[in-house]
Amino acid sequence: MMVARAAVPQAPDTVAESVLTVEDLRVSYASRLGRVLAVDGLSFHVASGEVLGLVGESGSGKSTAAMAILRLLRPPGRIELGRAVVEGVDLLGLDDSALRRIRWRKVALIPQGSMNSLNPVMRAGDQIADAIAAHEDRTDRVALRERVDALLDSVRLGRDVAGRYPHELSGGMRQRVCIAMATALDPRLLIADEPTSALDVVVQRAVAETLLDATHRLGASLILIGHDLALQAQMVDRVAVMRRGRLVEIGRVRAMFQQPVHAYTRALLAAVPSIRDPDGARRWRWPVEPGDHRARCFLGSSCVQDGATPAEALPLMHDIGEGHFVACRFGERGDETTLVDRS
Amino acid sequence: MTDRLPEATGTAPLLELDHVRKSFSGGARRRDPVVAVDDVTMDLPSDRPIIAAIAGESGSGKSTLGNLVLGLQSPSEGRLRFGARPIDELLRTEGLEFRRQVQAIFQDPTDVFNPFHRVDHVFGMLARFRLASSAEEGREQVRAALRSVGLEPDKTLGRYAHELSGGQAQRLMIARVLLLKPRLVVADEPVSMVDASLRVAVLDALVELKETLGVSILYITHDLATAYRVSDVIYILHRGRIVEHGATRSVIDAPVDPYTRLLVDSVPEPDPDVRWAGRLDDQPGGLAAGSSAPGGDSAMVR
Amino acid sequence: MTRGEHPWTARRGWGAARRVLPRDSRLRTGVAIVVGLLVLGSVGPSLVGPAGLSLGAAGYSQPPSAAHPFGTDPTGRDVLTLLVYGTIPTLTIGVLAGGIGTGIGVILGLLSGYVRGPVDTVIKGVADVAVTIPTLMILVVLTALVKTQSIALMAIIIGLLAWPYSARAIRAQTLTLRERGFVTIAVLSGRNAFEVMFLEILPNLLPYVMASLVGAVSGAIVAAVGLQLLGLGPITTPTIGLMLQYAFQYGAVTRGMWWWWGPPTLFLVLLFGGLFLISVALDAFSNPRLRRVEAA
Repeated sequence: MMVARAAVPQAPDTVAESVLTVEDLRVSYASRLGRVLAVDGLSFHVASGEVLGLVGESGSGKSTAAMAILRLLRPPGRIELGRAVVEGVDLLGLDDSALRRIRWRKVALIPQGSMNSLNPVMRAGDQIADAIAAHEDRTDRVALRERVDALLDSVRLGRDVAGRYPHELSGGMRQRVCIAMATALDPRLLIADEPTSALDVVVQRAVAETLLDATHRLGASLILIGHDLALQAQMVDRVAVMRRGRLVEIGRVRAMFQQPVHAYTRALLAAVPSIRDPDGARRWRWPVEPGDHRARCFLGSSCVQDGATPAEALPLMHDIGEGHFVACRFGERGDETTLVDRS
Repeated sequence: MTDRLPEATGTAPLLELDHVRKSFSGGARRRDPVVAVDDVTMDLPSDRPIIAAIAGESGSGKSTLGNLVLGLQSPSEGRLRFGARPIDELLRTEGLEFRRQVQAIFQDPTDVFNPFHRVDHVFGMLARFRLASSAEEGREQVRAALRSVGLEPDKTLGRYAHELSGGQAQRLMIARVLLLKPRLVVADEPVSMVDASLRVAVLDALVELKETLGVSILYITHDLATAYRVSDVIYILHRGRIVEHGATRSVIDAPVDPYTRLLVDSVPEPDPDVRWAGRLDDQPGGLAAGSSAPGGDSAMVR
Repeated sequence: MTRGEHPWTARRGWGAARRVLPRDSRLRTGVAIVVGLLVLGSVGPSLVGPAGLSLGAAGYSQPPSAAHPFGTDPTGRDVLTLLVYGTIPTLTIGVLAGGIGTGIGVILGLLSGYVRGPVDTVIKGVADVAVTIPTLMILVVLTALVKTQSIALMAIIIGLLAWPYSARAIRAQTLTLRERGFVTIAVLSGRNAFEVMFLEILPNLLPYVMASLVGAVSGAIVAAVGLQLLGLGPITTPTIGLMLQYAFQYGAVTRGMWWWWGPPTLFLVLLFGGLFLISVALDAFSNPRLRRVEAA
């Protein structure tokens, strides 16, 4: 059945303009088993100054989506469809030189594992300076030096760090160097992919604080990609949950944690242990009333989001109110009408 | 200072660490010797099975402690005893029996499989323990063990490790441990590389080991939340030293040591209304945690 | 985040080997060449017949003709016959010496890399020194002393000097593999050191062993030809090297007898080329950075 696609799930009160609008992003990989969809039908906004969490397990496509938005995908991955609009410009349609001007200056990425990808034979300060110089055609070494020092201050690292090599820095310090690099050109949007996943709990808190400080100082927005829901609860304003390349649910952080709708979101939350509330007494209670059509949304082969062939039906995003959207094949009356024909 | 558990009985403890210290020489960079484990004394009782968590951050020495208990490394000072006998002696005289009684589950579920062989190989290696009287019986034992951890033998045997998920691989290793019926299992970060939704199954399998087979588990982790969930007692390790220990619930609910308090406070709560109180630089030793130069157990850098 | 593939640790595995290698055109070409030469040497003699080996069988120093496609040498022997009969002995030297060298090298490399300690210090020390000494010089001295009269003996001597190269390569790989979890599990399952080395580590080294073997075979044939050109090799069995020895000894170049020195040279070029292609393909497979992107 052909039904018009729902509008892109929008943050509530978006009088403030959106920094990023992703529309219907589809990314596929060629593999020996054929074409595999890594991301399908992904649409969302990021409002100015907000922190959006992008959550999913491995294979959910969250990292792929980030790389695709910044056009950093390598073959055999390719972007088939979609738009990623930053300040009125669609990144996915730009030519290389225009893209280079926007990348890093408007949108910066802290890739997964970046703290382990620093050049081992270059001092930290030089690497930051290089990142600036590469995107700004600047060669004044003295000015660069001052910028680097200021950046290190902003991430609470001593200025001596500039003269050190990556192996002389701890994991937390290396990650903060990466944050410094990403914020060097005052971007409007930061995308951090699993910035703390290899770090210990206390260091994680330090890096998380640094990341939020940097974002707020720039007046920028942040997309925090990860799989740790507890960390997300600490840092974000809104959460988007992805599964197998598709957006499953998106909403304000409180609503997502206290009244999750989609069965997958509920399952994810149930799996997060808590030391302060080990029996889950304070957790959400989903009041399942008899006849409530939403109770029929359960994981299993009967759900269209499982293993549906790529070109077919993509469940619509239903607006539950206050910016809370959930993907579901059932409509208001519990009938199966709201599938989007994608063929 | 001995950290004996309050209810230790007169019989020899299952595992005993006596002022154990392990240091590594500085190596090519000519640093001072790195002390991974520093004067650790602890024991596990033998009269009842127990899950003891060794909790600490990377560089705390917890994995080195695990390796010492498994006999994979020898201490620089101090002694480790299993059932009142020194471990190094046990390895020399009754190596195979020691290996049967002390087993391990490791962090990386696929690294523990030899990529050249199918996963069946890890069971085949157990033949020397003579767990079955015939090949047929052995095969049946393997199948039963797999089923008891929630795996389907026909979908698991005959595969290569990379065809299994992290959770499946980890449970397969638990099945292997089940076959040996050891008395002590060292579980080194068994769920940190497993997807969140599969962790519960793996942790439950560990608890099953304790409850049905009476196996004691040394649960090494950096994740206080899972330690809270499965362990009875906990030892907090910081730079190779035990800074606090006791019943898990009381240590985590009401930590005494400032490092423990910092650790517990920094664990993120999956509740947006319960956010980190204050900033790290207001805590004692807070920001220093993120600024120390690398040291300690270099094998632990994750 | 589970089992993420960091580029430096991506595991290729045997499944990948079985899939990727047979499709590598370099491997196929190299194998085809070597197999072709092997066929030449095994089937050729029965096709050509030993007649051309006798002295004075045909005209002396004849250029190529219908009867003698590669002409004859100054003693009246048919060059094609010499080539065909010399193929197998030449390949035998290579395989025998390469096999001995690689075999010893693998064992010592495993021991050195896995057991470490004094054993490692000794083996590594000897190997490190040995590779700095030009092998040909030692070979010259040895063969002058021993006066090799059989290709087997020459092959053994060459093989005994070849182990340091493969030993170092295998040692390096062993050092990496011994840190892997499956080695620890084997130890925890009661395996002793030898079982771990040969049943757990060695199977995963096979690509490196093959690469070493191919290199060793190449190197052995080079050494053998070198010795023969210096007149230090055995003269009782026909080999390609022997052909070249006589050709240069009796001035084939100055006399313009290209049909005498040409074919054996071409043979060696083909042989080394084929072996090189095989080793490049194996190397590309083993080294993740050289491999073409394999779709996930």
